[in-house]
Amino acid sequence: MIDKKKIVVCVAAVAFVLWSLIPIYFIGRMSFMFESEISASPMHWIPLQPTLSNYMRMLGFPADTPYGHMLPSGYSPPTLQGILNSIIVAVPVTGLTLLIAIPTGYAFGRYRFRGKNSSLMTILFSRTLPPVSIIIPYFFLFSQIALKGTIPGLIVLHLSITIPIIVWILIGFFATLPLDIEKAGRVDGCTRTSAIRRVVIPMAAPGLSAVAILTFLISWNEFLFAWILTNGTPAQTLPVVLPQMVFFLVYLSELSTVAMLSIIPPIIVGILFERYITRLRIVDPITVGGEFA
Amino acid sequence: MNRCLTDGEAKRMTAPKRGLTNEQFAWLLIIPLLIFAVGIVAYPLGYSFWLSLNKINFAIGMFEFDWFGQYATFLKDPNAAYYTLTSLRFTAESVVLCMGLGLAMALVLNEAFPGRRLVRVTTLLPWAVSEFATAVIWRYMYNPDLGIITGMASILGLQAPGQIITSDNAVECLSIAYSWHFSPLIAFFLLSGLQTVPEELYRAAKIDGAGALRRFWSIILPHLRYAILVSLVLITLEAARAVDIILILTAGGPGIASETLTYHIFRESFINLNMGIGSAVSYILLIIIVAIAIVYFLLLTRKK
Repeated sequence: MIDKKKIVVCVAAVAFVLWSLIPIYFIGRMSFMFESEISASPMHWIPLQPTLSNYMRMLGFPADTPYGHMLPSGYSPPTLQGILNSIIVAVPVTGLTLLIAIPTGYAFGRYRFRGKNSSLMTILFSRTLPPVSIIIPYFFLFSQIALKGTIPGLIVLHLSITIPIIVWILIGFFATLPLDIEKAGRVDGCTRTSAIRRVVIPMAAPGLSAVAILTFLISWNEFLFAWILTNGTPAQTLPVVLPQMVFFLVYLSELSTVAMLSIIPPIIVGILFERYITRLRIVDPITVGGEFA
Repeated sequence: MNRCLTDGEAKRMTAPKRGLTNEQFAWLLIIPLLIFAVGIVAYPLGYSFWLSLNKINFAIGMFEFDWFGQYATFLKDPNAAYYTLTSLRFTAESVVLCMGLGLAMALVLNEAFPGRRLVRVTTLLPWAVSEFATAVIWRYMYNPDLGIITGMASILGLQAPGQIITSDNAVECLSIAYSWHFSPLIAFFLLSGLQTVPEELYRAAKIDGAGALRRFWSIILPHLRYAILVSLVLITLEAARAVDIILILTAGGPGIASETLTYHIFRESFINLNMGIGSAVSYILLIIIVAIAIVYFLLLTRKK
């Protein structure tokens, strides 16, 4: 009986691992192949002649291939620029999100006050607006005030995505931090603000770093707003470059390499911080929290 | 750990240190967010309502007041019902697939077996891959010449179909790819719910001779109630709003076979540049989504 259950669990675990990994492997293997091997039909499961030449050529170096010595790909400048822009956008988005979300998450998680539920609902409601609808008015506004195709414009829009999610996560997070230490700090003469700074923030540091990573990933992975606001401009981010390649016929070796460049950072982060990310859980924001008064 | 304060403690805590009550202090902390929330909710809502009342063609600079003409134009579109049904079909299929896969993953990950940590990390990965990259990957997975289905078929010695994505199964192809990306998140929500199931209760039921199904039904499921509801809310709202995956994987095709309301909004607004219709359809979609959200919200806040 127990053995039978063990077998089922193990088989299912293997199946889930395959299900999760095969698509990533599928695109990854293409990025290590020469063009002629990618178009082989039926597909090759393992590259016969593994090569790093695609990565070299996408990152701006020449490479030797069976087709001779090749210059960097024509998509290499936008890819490099895209990586740089994605970082230039994601870093301030992460900083500003934490700056706004930490006090708010703390207030919602720790205090009970009039209007709490309705302000909470406003935040959650913003999560129900379809991004494709939100972008229309912003497209008009940004065209008028010359923010279209700029990095600050994209940062503002990314904040509109990250802040509600991060606040929601932080509410549950602050509400489950032990209250006693903070109370002890208050009794010892800390003011409310210094108690937050000296007691709550250090206690929350591991969770806050997970939230920071999550924010960075959301911004790094965001596609629609970036596509509509920065497509074809010098401010375009990495997610914008990839679909450009999908819609215009390009070499699949180049396309799969850009795809890998876009998914490798999140995957590394996912592996390194799995423990923290999966510990963040969304708890009931209505019933939880509200301990001070 | 979150017990309420005794009167004495509360007095001491609430004693004004710099003239601010706790309530005022809390409001002070959330003011920046409220300003921001008004900006990101009220502005787009208000402005896009105004846009939806106009006949707009960005390409030729047309901007004419049209009352509710754009709504009428959409409702008169013979395909309007089809777009709506496609949205519902994609959402419903994604909800079923994600909840099913997520629950199965959570139940497996909750068991002890060798290499569990590795399996946990691996199952999380598709969620780290963004929605648009998921679409790019699956676009080539479904490719009839170099794709994985053809590759599998040739291993098994079968003849693969010449076309994988047809107008009959385009929505299913989309929801499978979407669930690949989204179900890990559901799995981890449910897993954190599963870990609250008291071990003794579970073991006692086992000793009493309750079968696996019965244990699942009467012990695990009640403890998962909240986690399941939150996951349902999340996946429904996300799937109803999803557009990246449709845009890149099928671009609404073949024909209009997988054109959801979100993709229709995108096509009208940013390909045909008819932003008036785009905004009008946005409002119709928003009403549907808010209606679903309200139902869920009532379920969530109902006293247990």
